Amino acid sequence: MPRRYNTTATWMKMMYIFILFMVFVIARLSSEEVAKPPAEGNTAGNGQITPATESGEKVPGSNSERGLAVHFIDVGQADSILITMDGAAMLIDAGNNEDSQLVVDYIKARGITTLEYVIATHPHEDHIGGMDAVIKSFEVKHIIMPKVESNTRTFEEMLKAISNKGLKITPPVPGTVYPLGKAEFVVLAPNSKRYENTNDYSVVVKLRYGGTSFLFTGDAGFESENEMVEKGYDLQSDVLKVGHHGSAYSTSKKFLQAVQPQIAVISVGKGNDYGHPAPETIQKLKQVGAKIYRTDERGTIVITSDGEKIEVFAYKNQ
Amino acid sequence: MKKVIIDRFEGNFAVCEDEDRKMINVERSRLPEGAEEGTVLVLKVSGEDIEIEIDHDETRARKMKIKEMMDSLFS
Repeated sequence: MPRRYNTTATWMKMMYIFILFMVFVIARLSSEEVAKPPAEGNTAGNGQITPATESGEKVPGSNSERGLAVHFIDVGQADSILITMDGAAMLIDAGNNEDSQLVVDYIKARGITTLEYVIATHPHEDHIGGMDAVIKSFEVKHIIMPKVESNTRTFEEMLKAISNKGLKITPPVPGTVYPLGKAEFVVLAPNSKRYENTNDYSVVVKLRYGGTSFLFTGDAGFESENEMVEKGYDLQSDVLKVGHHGSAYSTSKKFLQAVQPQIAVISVGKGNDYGHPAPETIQKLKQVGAKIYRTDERGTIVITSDGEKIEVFAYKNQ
Repeated sequence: MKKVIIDRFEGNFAVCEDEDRKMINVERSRLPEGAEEGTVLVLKVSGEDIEIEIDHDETRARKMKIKEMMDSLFS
């Protein structure tokens, strides 16, 4: 016996069930999305799981504060690093010519009038551009630079500023230790008198405070890195200032194995014309488990140390 | 006419310093034979074309002058 349907009612019922089902499915989907666990792993570079805090709080390392602060000043496609320790301060490189005022102002803003040490790692303009302005603006106790010249006006102006202050240049001698408050730094390179590439003359120093250490390599390339490894220097450091803005011709595997950095800082300009940093360098740094901080992504990066613990801060606007 | 000094090589460029300490990128492929760090270049621009020559005399003169300054400053 054929069953008779009230088709409209049946259709309505079916629609109703279907809609209910769909609502249930959509609800399931969205709840699944909400419940998705956060991505795992080292997410350096996307700002998720890093100890860096964003701007809005006081920049550590003003001259009145205790402890060590290492400021990787955002000078675009260049290097400039200010180090403060218990009222003493030193500077490694001074950015491009166009960063002169920025670097001087940044140092002044920390209440600094005297730089115990100024290191010009090597004579390229992206490292010594602001050097003449810095030497004119502050009292400088020691200036350390390698004995290699450049023909540029930038270099000439730096030499004039040194001369006008009655300063003499201290050559970098590997193994020499200099005090900075309760911290100290040791010179590790250059280890030869002559190099094919100006970058390899870069003064390399390792800064130590308590159980924490920082390695600053300027633009040193493979040749200088190999020398440091072969000399058996203690290169192991918590923080590595990556050589030559992360170029493909620095940061060899062998060197990284010796340094074993937890944190790698790359001083680099957004959309620079030279392809810095090289993808293979980033890859190598990730392989040794280093957390990468880049000035083109984070702005000025300040790393503090109390002799045991290291903290990272990043500031987009100085 | 413009005079620049090669400061460094980065990627495909020679990064050069002009008389006002402004930096300009010059493609390596356009450099004359023998151009290296420290070389003084003369850029002659005529319309679309750039002619690049080495100023050997000024390159030498600058080298000597800076070397003398350096020698007097090292302790």
